[in-house]
Amino acid sequence: MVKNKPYFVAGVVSLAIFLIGFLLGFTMLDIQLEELKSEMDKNELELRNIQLELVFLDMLANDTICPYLTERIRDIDKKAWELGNKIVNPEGINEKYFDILKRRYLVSLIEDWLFSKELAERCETNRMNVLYFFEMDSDICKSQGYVLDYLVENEEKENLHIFAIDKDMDEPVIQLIVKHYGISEAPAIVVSEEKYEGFRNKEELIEIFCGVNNQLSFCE
Amino acid sequence: MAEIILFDMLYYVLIYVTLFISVFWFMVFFEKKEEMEKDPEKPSKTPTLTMIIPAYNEEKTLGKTIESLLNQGYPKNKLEIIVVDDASTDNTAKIAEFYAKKYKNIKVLRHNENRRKAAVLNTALRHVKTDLVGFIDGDSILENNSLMNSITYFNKKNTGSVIATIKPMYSETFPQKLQKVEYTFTALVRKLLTFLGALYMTPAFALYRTSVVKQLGGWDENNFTEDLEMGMRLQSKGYKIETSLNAVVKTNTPESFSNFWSQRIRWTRGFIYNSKKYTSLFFGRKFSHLGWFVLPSQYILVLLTIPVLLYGLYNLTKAVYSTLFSYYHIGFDIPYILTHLGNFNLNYFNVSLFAVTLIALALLINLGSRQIKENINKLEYILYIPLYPLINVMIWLCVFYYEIRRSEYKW
Repeated sequence: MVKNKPYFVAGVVSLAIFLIGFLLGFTMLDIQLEELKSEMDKNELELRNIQLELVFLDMLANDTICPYLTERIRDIDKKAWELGNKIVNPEGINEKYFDILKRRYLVSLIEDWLFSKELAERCETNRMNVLYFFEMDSDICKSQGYVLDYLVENEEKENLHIFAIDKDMDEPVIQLIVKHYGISEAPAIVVSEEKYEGFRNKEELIEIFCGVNNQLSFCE
Repeated sequence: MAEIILFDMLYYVLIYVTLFISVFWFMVFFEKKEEMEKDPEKPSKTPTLTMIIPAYNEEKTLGKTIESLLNQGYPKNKLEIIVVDDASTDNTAKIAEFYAKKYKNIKVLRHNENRRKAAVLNTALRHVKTDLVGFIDGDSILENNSLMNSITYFNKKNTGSVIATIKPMYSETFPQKLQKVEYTFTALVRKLLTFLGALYMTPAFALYRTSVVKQLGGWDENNFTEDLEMGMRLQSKGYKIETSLNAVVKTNTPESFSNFWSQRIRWTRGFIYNSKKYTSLFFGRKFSHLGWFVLPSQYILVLLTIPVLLYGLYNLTKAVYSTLFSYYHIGFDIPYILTHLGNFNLNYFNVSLFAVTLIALALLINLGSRQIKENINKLEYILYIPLYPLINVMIWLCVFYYEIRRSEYKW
């Protein structure tokens, strides 16, 4: 007859497997975090660079490098949007590990947005900057994000830029913007200083965007 | 947020418990590897044996069942077969009579009304005068030498019953394929249970000491899982149940999902009913492995799996709805959808732990298939491992609902 030894051995072995599973999980998470941090660093550095380039543009007192800057900011925005999907919406990943990274990202995004606005005015580009406010763990916001993503990818001239902001993030600059535009519910978008709250489907969004900028490819 | 933490905790506990149980079975297996396939020495004197065949509308299989008993190589003068026709409406009685005329050691008894298996067994028991008594379901076939291999376990004084390894007769339909993998797994676990003295059921085919069954008063006719009840009763009276991997009974398994479902509802309700009837088995000092590990672990696993699985299903449903909602609002642009499928991040904690648990389960099934020489293909593994726990939880949920509503028991 079997005695109690298998219980003890099974307890120890399963605990070891369990801990290895945890360790493996932590290691993978760590690798993922490091990759994201490195991407963030690159993006922030790019942003710093482009800000200095704008200062340089001021010094030159002419707009000859406008196309160059517009192209550069387009790249940064694209990378920021991709990064945002990984940091702001880390499905299945324990959020607390991403909190600092997420804050850093959102603050940098605001910087990016402000810079994009300034560049659009200064260089008179066809860029359309859209602020998109979402709530974490909201399915309707995920769907809104998906539809916006779709429109960004279908804007062939790459002139549509979305800045996705967690409405509830307790960063002073974010709360200031939320308060400024009077955002009370999510999803919400701000286009050309005009606020639109509630879910908007593809057609409704196209109508809003084209009402402001009919140079976007899907308006033709 | 709170529900996510609770879910995570429950999930980790469930994974740990599942891992613990899997590793435990591996430990028992490796400790008793040499004894797995080896049956005890044959007795110097072959005991006399009566095999009862309860038959209700078994015209298709009864002949084969009888033939399989006659072909066992068991001394003819020591084997008696009693077929009890439980008021069949087909040709079962005629087939039984045909064999009774042909062979002197076959007797036929008949019920005027359908009284179910326990009553059938008791009717036959009154005619049994042999050392051992056994039954085989009228839709099952015993493989050669199974009787001889089984009786060897009665060498031990406290053996009350010996059961065989059950294999499904066919594995053609989807539920039958599921059951094939399940039976392989349970065959291994049942054998391992015998090393703990904790086997507590006597399904499809079982042999008993006649004196013990008579002393216990026969089968409980009010119990709708009489084989489980008898197993628990034997355990509660200090008798052990053994199983031989070299005794194989092939049985008919439900072809359709609805029949499979009804059968499982009955078995699960029977398990709860008999658990209540034999509460003394739980955490009793006499029943160390059975009372402290085997029986409680079944309830613990179910109680942990139900909330985890339901929460997982709830999230999955939400995610599917949300995805379809998104697709709808981009006008189901298929090329775009197809090129943006992999846009999600995985939870490495949960995935790696879940993978380890599935591997452990697959290894146990593989071990079972080697032990009982049952071929299981990759597709059957893939079907069984994710689906069976899901179906099992659904059955338990349904059973809990019936129990709370105190619904009538159905055969």
